[in-house]
Amino acid sequence: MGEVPPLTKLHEKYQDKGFAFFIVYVREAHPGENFPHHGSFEQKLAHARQLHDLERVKIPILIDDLKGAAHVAYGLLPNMIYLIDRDRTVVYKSDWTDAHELEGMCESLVRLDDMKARQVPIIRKGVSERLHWIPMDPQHRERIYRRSGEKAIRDYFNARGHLPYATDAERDKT
Amino acid sequence: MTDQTQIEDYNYSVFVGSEEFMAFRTLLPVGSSAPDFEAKLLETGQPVQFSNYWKQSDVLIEFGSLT
Repeated sequence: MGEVPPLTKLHEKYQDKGFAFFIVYVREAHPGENFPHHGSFEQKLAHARQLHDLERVKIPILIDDLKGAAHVAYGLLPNMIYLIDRDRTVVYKSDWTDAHELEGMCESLVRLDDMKARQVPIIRKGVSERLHWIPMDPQHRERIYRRSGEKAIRDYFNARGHLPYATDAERDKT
Repeated sequence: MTDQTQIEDYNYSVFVGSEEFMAFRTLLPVGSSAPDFEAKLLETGQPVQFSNYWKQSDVLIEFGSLT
C-alpha cells in the first residue's frame, strides 16, 4: 500500500457522483521489525491507524478480519482494485492501481447512467482485457521497505534474488 | 486446520513472493457477483456489512497494507 499511488484525487472527483471508495486493510505484504505480521486484531487495527496517519489517507478504511476472509474471497493479491456496481456486479478488477484507467472506468459508469436516463438502447455488455506495465520509483520504494524494517528488505532479497528497489540492470542479472 | 494455524498461515512472517496472479484472473472474473464480507470501519471501530454500500453506490475497493 505504501507503494501504491494514492486514489485521493479520484475519490474527490467521484464521491459526490454516486461512488463509495474504500481501502480494505489486509495482511502485511512485507512484514518487518517495525511493522510485523499481525498476531491479533488489535495489532492489525493499530497498523491500519498508522497507515491512515502516516499516509494521510482520506478514503475510509475497512479492516478485514484476522483470517483475511475478504482478502481470500477477492483473490489474495496484495494491492488489488475492484469496481463493483449497484447490482453487485464486478465491472473492473486490476492487480494494481492505475488511477488513469480507473477514472475511465468511473466515467463509463457515469455515462451508462446517462444513457439509461436518455433511454439509449444497450445492445449487450462486452468485456475487454489488457496488460499494463507498473513503473517503480526506487527512492519511494526503498523508503517504504525501510519503514517496515531491514527484515522486509532481507526477506524480499531472499525471495527474489535482488533488492526491492533494484534497477532493471541489477534485476536482469539474477 | 485450527483457527490459530489458519491465522498464522495467512499472516506470514516471511515474504516469499508466491502470489497467485493466474488465480486472481480466474477467481472473480468481471461480470461475476461480488462477495460480501464483514469488516471493521476504522473511523468508528464498528463492524459494517460490505453489501450495505453497493445498495446505494458504485463501490471502488483497494486492498493494501502499510508494508
